[in-house]
Amino acid sequence: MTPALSFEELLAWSDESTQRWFQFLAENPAVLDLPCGIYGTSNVLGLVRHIVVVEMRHGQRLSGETVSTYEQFPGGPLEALLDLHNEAIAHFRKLLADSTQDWAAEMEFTSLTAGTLRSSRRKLLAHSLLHAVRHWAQLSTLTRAAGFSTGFAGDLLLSSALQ
Amino acid sequence: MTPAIHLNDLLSWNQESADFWKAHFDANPALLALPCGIDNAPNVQEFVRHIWMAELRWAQLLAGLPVTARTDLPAGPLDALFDLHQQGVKILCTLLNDPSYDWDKTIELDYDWLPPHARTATRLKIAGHVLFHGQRHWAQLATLVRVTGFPSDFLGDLIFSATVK
Repeated sequence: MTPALSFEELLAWSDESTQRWFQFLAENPAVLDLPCGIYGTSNVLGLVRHIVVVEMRHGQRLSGETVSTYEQFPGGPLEALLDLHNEAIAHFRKLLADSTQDWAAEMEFTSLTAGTLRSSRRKLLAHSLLHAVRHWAQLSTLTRAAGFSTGFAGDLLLSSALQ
Repeated sequence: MTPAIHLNDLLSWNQESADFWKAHFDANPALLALPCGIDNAPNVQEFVRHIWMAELRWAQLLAGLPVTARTDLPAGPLDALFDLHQQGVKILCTLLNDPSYDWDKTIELDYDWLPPHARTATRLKIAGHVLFHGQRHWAQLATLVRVTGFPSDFLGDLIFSATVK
C-alpha cells in the first residue's frame, strides 16, 4: 500500500491552522482591515470570508446539498465567519465518518475562478482541506510585511494533528 | 476505502509546482533578486534555495543518508538550486518505491528550533511535511511577487493539479 496521510489527519491540520488564525485575528482586529488583494479581495476580512465560503460550498457540494451562492454568506463579522468554518468542518467530519461514501466517483462543478471543473470526490475533499492552508500561508506573508507577527508556523511538522 | 492523500499524489503536485516556478524564473530572472524576508531570506533566490535545500536535506534524513550541511550546498545559480530539488525527489521516489520502508517508524529530531512536541515524528509525517513545505512557500512567494508588481498567474491549488486524480 502506498503511504498516505488520512483525511482525518489533513482535516485536523487544516482546522488547527484555521483556529489559530481566527484566534490571532480576534486578538489583532486591525489586521482584518489591512489591504489584501489575494483572490481579488480588498482586505484581510474579505480573504478570510473567501477561505471559509469555499470550505462551506465544497462541504455542501460533497454532501449533495444545494450549494449556496457566494453572496448568500455573511461578509462578517469574524465570529460569523468562524461559525461558517466550523459548519464546513462538521460537514467534512460527517462525510468521513460515512463508510458508504464513494470517494473515487467523479463530479463536475463550477469553480469561482476557473469555470467548470471535473475531479474525483477525493481530490475535491483534499483541495477543500488544503485550500485554507495555502491561503493562511499567503496571509502570513502579508501580515509579516505589515508588521504583525503571528508567533506561530503553519508547517505540518509543527502540527499536533499527527505523530 | 478510507479516503487519503497518497505521498505519490503529493510528490506529483510538488513536481508541478517546482516546474512552474523554475520555468517562471527562467523567463523572469530579475525576480530572483527581489527582496524577500520570508524565513529571513534576503531575496527570492535565497528563499528558493531554502525551499529546494529543505527538500533535499529532509529526503536525505528519511533515507538515512548523511545530511549535507547548508553551507556545502550551492547558493545558485537557479539550475544548481533546481538540481537540489531533483536530487531530493529522486531520493523520495526511491523510498516510495521500497515496499519494505517503514513509514510508521519514528525519528528523533534534535533541532532546537522545533518545539518539544514536534521533536519526535513518524517518517510519514516528515515526508508529508517535506511535500507541503514547498507548497506553502510557493503560495507565499506568489503573494510576494504579486504585491511587488509581478503577478505570476500561479494556480497552486490542488484542484488545478493535472497529475492528481
